[in-house]
Amino acid sequence: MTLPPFLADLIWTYQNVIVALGVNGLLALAMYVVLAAGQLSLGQAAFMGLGAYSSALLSLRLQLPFTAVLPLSVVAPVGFALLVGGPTLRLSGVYLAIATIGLGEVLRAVYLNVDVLGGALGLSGIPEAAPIWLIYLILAVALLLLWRVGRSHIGRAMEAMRVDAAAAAAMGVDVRRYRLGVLLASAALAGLAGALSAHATDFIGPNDYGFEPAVTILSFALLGGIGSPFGPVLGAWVLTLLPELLRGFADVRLVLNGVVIVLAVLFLPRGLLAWRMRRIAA
Amino acid sequence: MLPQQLANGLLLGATYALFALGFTLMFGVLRVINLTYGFYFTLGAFLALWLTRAGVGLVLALPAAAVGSGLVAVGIDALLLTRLRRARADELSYLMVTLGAVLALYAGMAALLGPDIRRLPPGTIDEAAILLGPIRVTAAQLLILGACAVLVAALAALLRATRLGLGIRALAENPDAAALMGMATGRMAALVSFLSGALAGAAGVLIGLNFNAIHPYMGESMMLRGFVVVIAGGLGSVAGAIIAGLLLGIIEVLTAGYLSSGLKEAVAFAILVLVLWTRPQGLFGRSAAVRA
Amino acid sequence: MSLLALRRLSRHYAGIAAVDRVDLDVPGGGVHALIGPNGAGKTTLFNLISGLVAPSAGTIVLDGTDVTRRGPEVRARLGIARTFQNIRIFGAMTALENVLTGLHPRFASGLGAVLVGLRRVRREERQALDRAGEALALVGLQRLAGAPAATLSYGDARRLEIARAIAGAPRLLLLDEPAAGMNPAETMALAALVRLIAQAGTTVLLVEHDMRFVMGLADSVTVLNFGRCIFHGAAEAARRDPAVIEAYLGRRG
Repeated sequence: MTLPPFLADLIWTYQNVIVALGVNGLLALAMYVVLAAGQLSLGQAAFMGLGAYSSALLSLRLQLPFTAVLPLSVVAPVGFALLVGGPTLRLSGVYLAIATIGLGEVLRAVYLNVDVLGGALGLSGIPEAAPIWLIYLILAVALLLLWRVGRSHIGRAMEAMRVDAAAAAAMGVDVRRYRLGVLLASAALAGLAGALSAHATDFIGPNDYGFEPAVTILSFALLGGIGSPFGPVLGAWVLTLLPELLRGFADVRLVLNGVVIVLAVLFLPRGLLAWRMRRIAA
Repeated sequence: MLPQQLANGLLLGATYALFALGFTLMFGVLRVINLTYGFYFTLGAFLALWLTRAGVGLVLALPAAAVGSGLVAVGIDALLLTRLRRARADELSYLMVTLGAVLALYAGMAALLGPDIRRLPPGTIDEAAILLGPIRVTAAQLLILGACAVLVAALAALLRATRLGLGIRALAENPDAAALMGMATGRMAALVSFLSGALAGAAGVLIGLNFNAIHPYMGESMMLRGFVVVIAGGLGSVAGAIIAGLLLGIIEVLTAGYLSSGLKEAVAFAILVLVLWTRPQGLFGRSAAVRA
Repeated sequence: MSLLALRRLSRHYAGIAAVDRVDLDVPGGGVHALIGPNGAGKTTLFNLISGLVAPSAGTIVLDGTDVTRRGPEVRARLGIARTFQNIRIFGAMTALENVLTGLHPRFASGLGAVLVGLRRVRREERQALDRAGEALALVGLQRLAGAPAATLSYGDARRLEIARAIAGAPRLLLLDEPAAGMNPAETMALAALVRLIAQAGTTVLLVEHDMRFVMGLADSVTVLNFGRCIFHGAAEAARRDPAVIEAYLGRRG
């Protein structure tokens, strides 16, 4: 691809931010999928870590090409989601949130203590094989698909169970199956995001996928609002750009970040993008 | 070796229990995850640090730090959560607001004070060790154990024997009914915030003493342990929080001693996840607490 | 054979029987009422029939199929629809979207078809839209189709819930206190609507406190008291049954 020089310069200068915007957008969608069905599952960072570590190992150890690595990167997170899904789905609300945070912490300890995963140093020298256009292509496709699902009877069923799971079940919605379904979709999206970010930044470490990233991903979705899949992506972009814009205030930028979240929830309970998509697909 | 480790574990567990007690109170009565809770732990440790540096003895610094943390907890609760309570917001909103607040609070503290680790002034407490058979305990450790025992007993007495305790328990059972029966749930909520903030602050002082390392983010890793203890013990269960806290302390010390210190948190969380899968109401909780 | 057959159906809460060994046969067709004093177990019985609560003992048979161990979504697919005593519509959705949700079991296309955007999906959606429009028209809400459900008045919300329940043409419709909070004119309109639904082939089982409404509408009446069935038969006979009179009058207050 050839770009005009000024654009190429811009991308080169802000490469990290541009990658982060794309990856965080995908993570926000991974969060959106579960929240849209009323599941406060906070395992997205853990799924992302599984995608990142498994794909990095495939690249580093087996020297597989990225075209093979990327699709394979969903295997570990989706497998893990299947494994934990059954017992976890019986939980709801804050219990589910805490259980999924717990799973993330267990995985973090595994990364820290297993030699082949690099321990505290993480894995470095991962080939920078994920081009920026690919990240944004995947984000765009994910948005399109979530848009289609959201408009359909499946999207209606998801919103119904978010509002009132028992009433949705009485309408014929198989709540358990939907819960597992959104968990798997979320795992796949987060796994892809993990593989893309690992192959765009060349280094991954165990602390990239712990408690703090988990709640940050949640704040993407809630800040943006979950009336449509666009809200979470907007939220992710705002929260990714905010620290960059606040770079001049190095010391207090994390403070301001927190304050923005507080104010947003208190004064914009439906998110920055309060608009709700129409759930009719004809 | 083993008796010594059990003793160390028990001691660590006592502070976990203390910390978790405040959390379970807040969680059980107010029905929300308040993520700012870990900050009061940090705050308590820092207040004690400043007071001892100013020459105040530990016997006075500990309660003062606890009260100070409790007051800050009431202030933050009033500032952030009253609005949500009035709007009957869902638990997600509480989680988010307190998440944003705690990120800002930790970052603010680190920005103001710097992130490095501080130590209590030398001589704050007698370093001498006492030998109890094969077990070696320091005066600091005895103080921690004693303080935990006193605080837990005081809280239990408060909940069991006073009108206030009755109100708190009524609020935990059913907030709406308690409000209807004329209990000022707003004031009660403030009181619960104060009590939990004070417990967290006290636990912060004691952990600061135990490891003699105080830094702004110390509340964060403690918060994760708080989750483990409160969930494993059963939400809102005082006895459960104490037992689970003690067990967690022992498990962590034993894991660090016999396996690897890097694994102690993983073991704790693996236990949490197993408990949630097999007994979602917690080891000692009543099943009514679970909303499936 | 009856459409719905309950055999020794029980549900205990902490040792107390909310529903106690109830036998009940609802024949296909017509309107049947379930009455009884407050706390008699009527709503629990509805929850047991629709599958939101699992029985402690006993069986539930729908048209020859034992559904006792089946989840609520399976029963909805088999033709049990319901409304709730405390209206449970999906507030942020429009009225039309609410009714479409009630048609969920009618959709055959799965996730793959939706993701690819098959033409079949759109055809199904159009059919569903037609049916939903008819259901809304039947309850008289077609002009509010695009209004968010949370903005509807109380009576409109009740009727929307009925539209959502009947859109899929269920075999058995459970109405939990449909006339609660309605004025006399609205109650009369509701009675006409229920008759219309029954004439269209849906068997109606309703819980209601408004006796005039029940007596004017129901072909048969079942009376529950303290979780037990104390009367079953024609509505007129219920008025004269001593056990029923005692349940209503003897222990009031």
